[in-house]
Amino acid sequence: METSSKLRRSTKREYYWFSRHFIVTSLLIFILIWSFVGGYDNKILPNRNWVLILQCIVLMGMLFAYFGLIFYNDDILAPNLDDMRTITDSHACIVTTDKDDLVKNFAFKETSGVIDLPIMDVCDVLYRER
Amino acid sequence: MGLNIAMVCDFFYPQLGGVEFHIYHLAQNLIQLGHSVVVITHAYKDRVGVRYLTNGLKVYHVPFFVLHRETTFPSVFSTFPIVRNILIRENIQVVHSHGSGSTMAQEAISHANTMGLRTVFTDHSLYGFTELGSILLNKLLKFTLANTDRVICVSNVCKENMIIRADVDPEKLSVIPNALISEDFKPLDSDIRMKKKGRITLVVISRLFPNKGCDLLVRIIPRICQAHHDVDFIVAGDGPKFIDFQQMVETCRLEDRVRLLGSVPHENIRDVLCQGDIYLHASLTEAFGTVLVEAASCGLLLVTTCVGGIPEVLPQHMTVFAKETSVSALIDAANKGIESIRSGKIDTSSFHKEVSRMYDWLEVAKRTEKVYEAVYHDSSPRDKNWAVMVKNCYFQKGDGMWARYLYVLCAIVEYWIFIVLEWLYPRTEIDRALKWPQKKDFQITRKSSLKNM
Amino acid sequence: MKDDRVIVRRGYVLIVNEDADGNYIKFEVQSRSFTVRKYINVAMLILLCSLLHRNMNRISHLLRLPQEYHTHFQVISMVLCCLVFKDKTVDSLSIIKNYGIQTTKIGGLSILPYGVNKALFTQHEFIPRYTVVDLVINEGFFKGFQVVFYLAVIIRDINELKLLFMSNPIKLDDQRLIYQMSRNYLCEEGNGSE
Repeated sequence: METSSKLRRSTKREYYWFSRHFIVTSLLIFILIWSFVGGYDNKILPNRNWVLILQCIVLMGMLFAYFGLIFYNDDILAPNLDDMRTITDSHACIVTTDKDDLVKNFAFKETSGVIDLPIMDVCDVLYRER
Repeated sequence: MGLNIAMVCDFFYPQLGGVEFHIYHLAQNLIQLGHSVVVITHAYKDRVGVRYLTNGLKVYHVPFFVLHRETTFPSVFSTFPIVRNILIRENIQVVHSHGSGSTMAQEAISHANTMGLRTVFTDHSLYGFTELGSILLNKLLKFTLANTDRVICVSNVCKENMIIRADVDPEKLSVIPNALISEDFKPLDSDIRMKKKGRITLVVISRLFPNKGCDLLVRIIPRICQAHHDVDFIVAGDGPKFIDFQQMVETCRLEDRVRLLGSVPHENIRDVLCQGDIYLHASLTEAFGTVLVEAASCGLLLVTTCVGGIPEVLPQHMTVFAKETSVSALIDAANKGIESIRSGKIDTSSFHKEVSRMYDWLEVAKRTEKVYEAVYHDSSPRDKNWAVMVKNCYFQKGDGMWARYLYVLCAIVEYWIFIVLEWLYPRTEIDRALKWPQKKDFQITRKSSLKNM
Repeated sequence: MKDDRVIVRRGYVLIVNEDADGNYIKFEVQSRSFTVRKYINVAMLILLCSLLHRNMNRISHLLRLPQEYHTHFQVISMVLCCLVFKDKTVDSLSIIKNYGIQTTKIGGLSILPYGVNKALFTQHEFIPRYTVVDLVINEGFFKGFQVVFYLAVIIRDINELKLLFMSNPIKLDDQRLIYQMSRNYLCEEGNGSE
């Protein structure tokens, strides 16, 4: 009982993948035929140049997307240096006790939850005179 | 003198989940062992820029286009400039990436390899072999892991899955399980038990997605409620299947016996767990299952499916396994669990102590530190030689012609980009960041901060 | 007045000016190649003006200007050229103990001498002591895929940081020096009882 149901399941997957393989290969062969047969003389298929144009569009589109992505991140998503988001945000839980308590309990100890240290105290710990 | 480590993953606070907590606690414990850790992740809405968390853990939230479920848009090279800048300014020596599903993690490994840094990869989930997404991911993983120094998996099942998926050399693999903070998951003292006398409560906590077994749960809950009249359910968590649960409660008129809590913040999980006697876990696939350890630490008996890494997580006496992943098997296991609780055969009060002995984040950090040491011990400068790395990519087992040439092409383009970046943004121009001091080097001076704060 | 302290780096010069009584400190940053740039700008300006002068007839013919406006047009175009060539901004930060922080930007045209620029094109901004939360060294993502260190003042009730020394970016070591020296002038010595 068990084996036959497993066999049935695997043959279903085989059909699925074979049909995908078939479709993709036929698409490739179709493009090859198009690049030879299509033309402005015969009206069987559109002009051959469209194959080249489409491929170039895809390639250039990918390149455009790459550069577009980089510049989108840098120009639009990155906040200005004077933005308050560089210091704090709506998800932050900031320590609000006084200096001694902060150094004793938060600056050098792990907390169970994720808590931010305020930037003023961070600067003090990092950049003060030794 | 500790190492400078960078943890890279798409998933970090403010998203709450297993991987996120793993990274956070591992980083904190590595800092305690004397290393310096930096976390690189992507920006979450308005949380963007550099933040410092307690204990001096620095987090970089890099602004990046997020595609789907908090993973960044996969483009093999666009993270290179910014990640290179961060790795140089923090003087990073080891890059530790987490999660195969995280594009940033995989890209960071290739960038770190190009720059000659040591790399370690940790995987937290199991992946199949038949879905298109999994196949593509495995192919990508092969490329990434060709030159990674070490790979860490969270369970033995995960390790085998990794070996089959990505053809990793078993010598490079280590198994280091997750842990939990046992003080946060203490059971209630017996005299202030919140549980109702005479009733047995089953708790379910999970993200309500199909692969977590929600369809099974929706069928199991009414049948158990019908069979036992002293059993209640608490379901916590949110997701696409929440509607199915609500419909089930309405159709079977179980409003007074099934409580749907929705999404519960992590700090309240312990309170939810302490209200229960049994934890029911119906997941279809699970690499480790930290929530099981948390439930056991709170003194709950576990009734769970026997998939993935779950059998390795806890000892036999704390769990009742369902023979297979089906409704009837789970109901049998639940019945067995309910009977043991009802008859008082099982005493769950010792669970917390046992779990706290078995699982501790400091131990995980120490074992990870050993992996880093092994990386340096077995390494040679030839490992990161570009020609050697390209050769490793090319001679991957089981790859067809297309894949090989694609990998080699990607690697070459990456090296070209590196050369261009070294020329455009030279290393000497980048200011190096200061490391958080050790506690012993720090003194509170008498100078107070600004008076009007 | 104590002696000025001058720190010379590859791209800029930092001048620290401290008051002997400890009430006032001033940090000034100017570009290292300030005078060289000025001369280059003036040379380019002369070149541009001479080119304009030689081709004046052709240009006025193109723009179809009437004859009597030729000289007017020449003068106006030369003045516009002078306005294009600007000197690099000189930033400075002054901290007056118990009073506040003042930032100064001195811009100017290359053709005018520094003294005239200082008199005409100076912008001051004063931040009173009670609105200053702190002076910090912050890190942020900057154009060109980099993370930079920069000095900023956090001001109470304003949702923007006041950025310092943006025209001539300075290195982290000098930022630390400015931070440490300004602590004395911003903080109150005391036993911390607030």
